[in-house]
Amino acid sequence: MTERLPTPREIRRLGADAVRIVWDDGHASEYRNDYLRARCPCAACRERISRRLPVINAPREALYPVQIGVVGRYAVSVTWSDGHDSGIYSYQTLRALCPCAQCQPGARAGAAAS
Amino acid sequence: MTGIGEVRERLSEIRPPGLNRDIVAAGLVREVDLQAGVVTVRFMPGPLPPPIVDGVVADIRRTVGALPGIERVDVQMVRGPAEAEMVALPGIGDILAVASTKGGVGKSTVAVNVAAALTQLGQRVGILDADVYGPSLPTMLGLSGRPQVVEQTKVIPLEKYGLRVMSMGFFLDDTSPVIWRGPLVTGLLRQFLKDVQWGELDVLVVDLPPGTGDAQLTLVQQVPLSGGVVVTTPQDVSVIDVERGIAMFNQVNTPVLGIVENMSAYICPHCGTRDELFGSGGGARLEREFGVPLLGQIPIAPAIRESGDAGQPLVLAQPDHPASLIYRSIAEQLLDRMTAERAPAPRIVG
Repeated sequence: MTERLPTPREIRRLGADAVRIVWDDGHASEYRNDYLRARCPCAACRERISRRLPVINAPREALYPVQIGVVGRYAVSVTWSDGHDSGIYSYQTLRALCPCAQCQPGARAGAAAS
Repeated sequence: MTGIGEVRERLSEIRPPGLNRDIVAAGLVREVDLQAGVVTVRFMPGPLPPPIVDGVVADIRRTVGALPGIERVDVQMVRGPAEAEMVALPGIGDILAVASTKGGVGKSTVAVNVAAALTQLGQRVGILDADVYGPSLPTMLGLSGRPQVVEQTKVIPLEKYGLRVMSMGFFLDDTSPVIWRGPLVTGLLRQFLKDVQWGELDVLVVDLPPGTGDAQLTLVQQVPLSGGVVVTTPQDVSVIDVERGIAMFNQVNTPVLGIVENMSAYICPHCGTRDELFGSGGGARLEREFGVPLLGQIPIAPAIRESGDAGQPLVLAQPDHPASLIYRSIAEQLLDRMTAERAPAPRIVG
C-alpha cells in the first residue's frame, strides 16, 4: 500500500492537439485535448456529465491547456483555453485515463473523445 | 503618419483562438515601440501553444505592417511564466509531515524530538507548528516572543537549539482559545509556507493539526511532501484512526514513511519494570496490515513530559535516555527513507 504510484516525469503540451505524459515507469500516454477536457474530474463537470450536458465550451481546434501546474505530489491542475480551471487531475486518474491500447484493451486507442 | 495608439489599436484586434480576450487585454503585449517607421512589439506567448503563436505573430506583422508609414515590424518574444506554478520552497531539502488523526497521542512531542534528533544527526532542521488549534511548540521549546517581520511580508523564524521554529503560538495571547474556520487555516498555512524565511534547510518538519481536514489537504496539495509519519498509541481505537491517516497520505500519493507508536509502555523509574498500559502490538499490527514500517515504540517516561514542560526536548536534555536513543533511531530511519522516496516533480514543457 505504500508502493508509489506511477508519477509523470514529463508532461508536454502538444499544442492544439494533445498532452503527452512520460511516466517514471517508462510508459507514455498521449491524451487528445478534448478527450482530457471532457473527463475533467471537477465537481461541476461531473455534474454536467451526469446530466448529459456538454462539458466543453470551445471548438475542438481551439481547445488546449493554457497552463498546467503541479499540485502537491499527486496531481496536476489544468487551465483550459475555454476558461475552465477547476479540474485537478490526480496522477492516478491520468494513468487510468491513458487511452493507449495496452491500458484500454477493447477500446480503440485515443478514440473515446467527445 | 501612424501613431503608437493606432498600432496598439491594431494589436487589440488580434484575438487568437482559445483566448477569450485580445492579446493586449490578456497582457501578452508587453511593450510597443515606434521609431522612424519601425514598430517593435515585445510579445509574451505565455500560455499559447506554438502553432497559435506563429499565427499571432503573422497577424501582428500583417495588420501593423499595413498601417501607413510602417516600414518594418519586429516581434520580439519574451519568456513568461507559462510553466508549472508549484509552491516551490527553495532551499528546503525534504518536507516531513507528522500527523495523527486524533489528538492527545503526543504528536507534537514526537515531532519536536524527532526534529531535535535530526539536528543531532547533522541536519539543518526547521519545524513548523501547523497545529493552529492548539500550538504547543512554543512551550515545548521554551520560546516566546514574536517573530520579526522584514521587508513587509517576510517572517523570520525564531531559533532555539539550532532549530528554526515557526508557530501560530507566537502570534497568540497565552490563554485565548483558538477558533479557526477552515479558510483561515488554509490561508495561514499558505503564508507560513511561503512567507517564512526558512533559509537553507535539509529537513522541514511540519507538525500537522490532528485530523484529515482542510489544513492537511492544503499542505499536501501545495508542497511536495517527501513523506508522512503517523503517530499513534497502542490502543485498538487509536490504531483504527491511524488507518485513516495512512489512507489520507495514500490518497495524495505521499509515501507514509512509517508509524511511531507513542506511550507504548510504562517503564517504572524505580524498578525498571515494563508495563504495557494500553495493550501492545497496535503498531506492529499496522506494519503487518499496511506494510508501513513501525519506526519505533516510545515508552511513557516522566522525563519526556518534564523536559517538554521545561522547554527542552528530551533528546537534547538527556541524550542518553533510552527514549532519546529511540528518537534518534527514528530520525535515522526517516532520513534513509526520505532519500529513497525522493521523486522529482514532473517537468512541464511545451
